[in-house]
Amino acid sequence: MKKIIISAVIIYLLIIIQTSFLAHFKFLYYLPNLVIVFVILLNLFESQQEKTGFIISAIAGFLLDVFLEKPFGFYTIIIVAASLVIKAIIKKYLYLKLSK
Amino acid sequence: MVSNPKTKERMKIILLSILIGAVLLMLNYTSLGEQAKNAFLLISSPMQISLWKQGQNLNHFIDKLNGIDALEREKTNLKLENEKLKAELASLLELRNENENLRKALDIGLEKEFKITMADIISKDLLQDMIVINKGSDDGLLIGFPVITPEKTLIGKIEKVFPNFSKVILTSNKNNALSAKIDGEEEIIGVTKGKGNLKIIFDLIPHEKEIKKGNFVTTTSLGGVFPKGLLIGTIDSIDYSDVKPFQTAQINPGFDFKNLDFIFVITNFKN
Repeated sequence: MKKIIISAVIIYLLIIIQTSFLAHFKFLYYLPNLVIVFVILLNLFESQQEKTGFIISAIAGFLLDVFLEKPFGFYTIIIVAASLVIKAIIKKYLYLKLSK
Repeated sequence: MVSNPKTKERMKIILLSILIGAVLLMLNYTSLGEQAKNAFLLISSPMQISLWKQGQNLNHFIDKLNGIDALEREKTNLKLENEKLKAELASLLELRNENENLRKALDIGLEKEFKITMADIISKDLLQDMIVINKGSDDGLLIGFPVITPEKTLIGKIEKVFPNFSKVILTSNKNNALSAKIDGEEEIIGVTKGKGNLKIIFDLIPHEKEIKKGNFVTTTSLGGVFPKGLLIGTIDSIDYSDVKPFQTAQINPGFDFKNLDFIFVITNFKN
């Protein structure tokens, strides 16, 4: 729960910083969406048993839908689907069996 | 009864997906979505306004640092230009007096020409040329109202209104096209189209019309969307091709977020 709350706050701050502060700098125009990068990294480095990645992805999608000009659900669906794909790839190809 | 734990898990996922879908549909097709957006913007706006101002200041500072190399060259050029301008100033002073007298006689002023509302910019969309301002339907704003700078330069028009905020689509937004003209010895009428990333093109200019770099592009009253005579920008480069039916030109937008502390929304105008 603590991880979800901290991540939600970080995501909220990232959105506000990117839309209000970094929006001024022309050389940062092609900077990728920081929230999407954050969520992808979070899902990549999360252990397979944990499910908080999905919840954080859904929160990130919802917040992006609130602050950016797209219909509700646009970013939520994209980010949750991305986290599902990441988890599936990790499970299929990068599973590490720990020795006893 | 479902007893298999795997089937139970699947049922849970399906039910959850249906629930999420229903919530999203409800947010899109009822006013709940707009209320949620308005509430989040209301909470965040003090922080967003402060960050917007900080970003503006830092950008100013970086620009100054970048400009040190060019300053020396600019200094020489400016000296030459200064001499020329002194000569022009003498004749302009005479015109200024005349202009002031005429202004007094006609009583011209921004607030005399239009009914305006002042607003602050709080954020800019990441992917599109769109900004959010801190005035909304509670302040009497409606969709389609033109947004200008204090110098009467067109920024864009209101695309969406919330009770306390509005989204403004910039003239450089890809979905924005408007009728425009170049005033001169002969009037050249065309259409400006947004290209994204604060770039605008002036299109549908007939081949026989001659346009020059630095020409001012202004709005026309065609369609009644914008008041006539608002500056859109200046011609930056011209793309002339015999193959194309029309010539096009790149426009430098007349507004610059670096120097923009507040903007005006025109709530009523006479053409």
